[in-house]
Amino acid sequence: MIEVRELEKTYRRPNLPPVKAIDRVSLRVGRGELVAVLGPSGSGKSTLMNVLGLLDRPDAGEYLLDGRAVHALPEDELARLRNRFLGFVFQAYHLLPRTTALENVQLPLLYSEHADFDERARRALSAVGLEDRVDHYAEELSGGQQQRVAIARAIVNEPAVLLADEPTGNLDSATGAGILALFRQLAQCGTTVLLITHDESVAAVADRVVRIRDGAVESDVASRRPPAGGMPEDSSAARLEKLPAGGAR
Amino acid sequence: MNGPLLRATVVRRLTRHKGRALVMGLGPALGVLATVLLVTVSGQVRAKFLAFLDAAYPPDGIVVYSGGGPMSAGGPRRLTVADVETIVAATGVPAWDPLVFAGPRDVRRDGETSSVPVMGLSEQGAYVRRRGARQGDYLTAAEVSSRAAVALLGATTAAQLFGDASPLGETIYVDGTAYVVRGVLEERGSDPHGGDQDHVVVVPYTTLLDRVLRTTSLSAVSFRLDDPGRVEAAGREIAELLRREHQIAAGQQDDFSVFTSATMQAMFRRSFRTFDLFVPLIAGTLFLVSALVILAVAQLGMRARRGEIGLRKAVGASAGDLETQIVWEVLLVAGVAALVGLALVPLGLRLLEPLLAAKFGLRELTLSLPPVVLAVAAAVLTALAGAVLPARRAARLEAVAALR
Repeated sequence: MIEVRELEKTYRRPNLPPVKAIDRVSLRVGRGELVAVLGPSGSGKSTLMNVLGLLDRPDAGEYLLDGRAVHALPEDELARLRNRFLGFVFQAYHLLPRTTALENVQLPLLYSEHADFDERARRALSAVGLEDRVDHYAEELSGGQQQRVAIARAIVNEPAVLLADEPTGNLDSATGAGILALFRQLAQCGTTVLLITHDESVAAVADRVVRIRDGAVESDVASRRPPAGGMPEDSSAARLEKLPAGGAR
Repeated sequence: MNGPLLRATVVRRLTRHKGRALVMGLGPALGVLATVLLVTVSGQVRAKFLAFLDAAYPPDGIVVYSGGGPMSAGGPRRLTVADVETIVAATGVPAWDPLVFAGPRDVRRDGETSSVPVMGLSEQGAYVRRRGARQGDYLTAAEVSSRAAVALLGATTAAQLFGDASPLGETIYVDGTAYVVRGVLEERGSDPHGGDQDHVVVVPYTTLLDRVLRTTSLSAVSFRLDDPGRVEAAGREIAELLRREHQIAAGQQDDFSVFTSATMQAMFRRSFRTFDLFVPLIAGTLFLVSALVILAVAQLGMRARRGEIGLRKAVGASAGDLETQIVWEVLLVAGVAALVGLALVPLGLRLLEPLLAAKFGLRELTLSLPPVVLAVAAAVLTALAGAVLPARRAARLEAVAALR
């Protein structure tokens, strides 16, 4: 699903030495894999997520998404790919204030042509166990519920790849464990999940752990647990239906 | 973009951010209100003046005033019947009617007394001034030549003195002198300054000259020609004749003024030129300020919405999508505000009515479509101008930087 070769990204600022945030990173992630990108603060993992999420461009190297070279595509095409192929979950949730859970989940559908946006958003919320919170405003939800709304928003367009940047960073351990279980279920349903984290215990839920240090891949090790997904066929509607209504609280 | 969802999103933004929408909408609402009021009022004042000019200075008429004209402060008053007879003899003008203005006088009937402008005309007045008697008879040649004590009443004066009763044949007293009412004049309504043209008493000009004022000076004389094409030449001819008669040397100021329909129209256009500039200037300033307020509020809004913009980009909004959304948000606010402004127009007109009635004699103001369309279009276009820059800036924002 994702293949990067010799990816490089350097930040240059006037009067400061250049900072190599990604240094010749090569990586392959298959469909339905749950991969943790683990590294300390400043190791370049967030930059890697931005590049893999098509939010930022690499200075050098190649990026193939579902077999298509995407590193040099124009901005509008990247926006279209983000909408169709990718879902994002952020540490700070990034829910819109004064907006209900349902409306937050509908956000990516604004940039697609789905006429059934209301039904899709309700289904996504149901998939993360928030069917009874659809009309609650973001401010009225707990941290864990907000993060689940963010996950519903990320999966509403049935993306092939889900990128989660420190998704449990603002949650207590029990709520965090529920969120991680949800990612695992998504991977089991065929979604490729990349967990960006500095936390070993979070990375422990992944099928594979890619350690990053100073922008370079330090190690890439498969875990001993059985793989989460790796489904050859990808039916997104089926994925959503397979998710338990209660999610993992 | 998803059209139905965009509509829902834009409407939701308006209803959930009322404070910002209110500040943003204030300019377009006031702009539409002020523009529609200004254009409506100025248009109807103009129409009122034109109707008055058409009646007072018809295309086949010439009016000669003693002194500087109807708007002059006074000066020598040397226009006499002899002058008029010389003009008629020299130019062959077929019809004329003198005017002697005696100012407001006490007019009494039984216990009712009223201060009414009194003027003297001839039997030609009905034809030359296109204003006859709607009830009873007009002045006759015999009454004029005999300096008869007869009067015509304006409709307002008749109603004041006689109520619903017929004034015909009744006696009124002007400054204590008895006059028999011969008729009631056709109604003219108010003049452009709000003066009631039906609040008048007309008596034979000879009566006023010889029995009341004891003078030979006329206030003015109106001529009516058979051929409107001759008016300008006849006007010049009359002016030259009067200069000769009054022995006014070249370079000396005339002691009379000659007005034709064309000269009055030109004078009116000159006076209204300032007004014609003033209306678009005020409206333009309002809409410019409105655009600047929208620009400032939208700009501040973009700063507050940095995270949202980053998120929208992350979930697939292209630069064009963001521009479209922000522009529609502003257009909706401007559109709703324009409608609010329009809804306030009848109230504004009602509040202005007493002032307009007193100043211009405008009693029923009617709203026409062109200023409404013009004002709403201006509100929407200026809002669009104010929205474009913030929308472009939002579209250029990098998602990574905005989400940080």
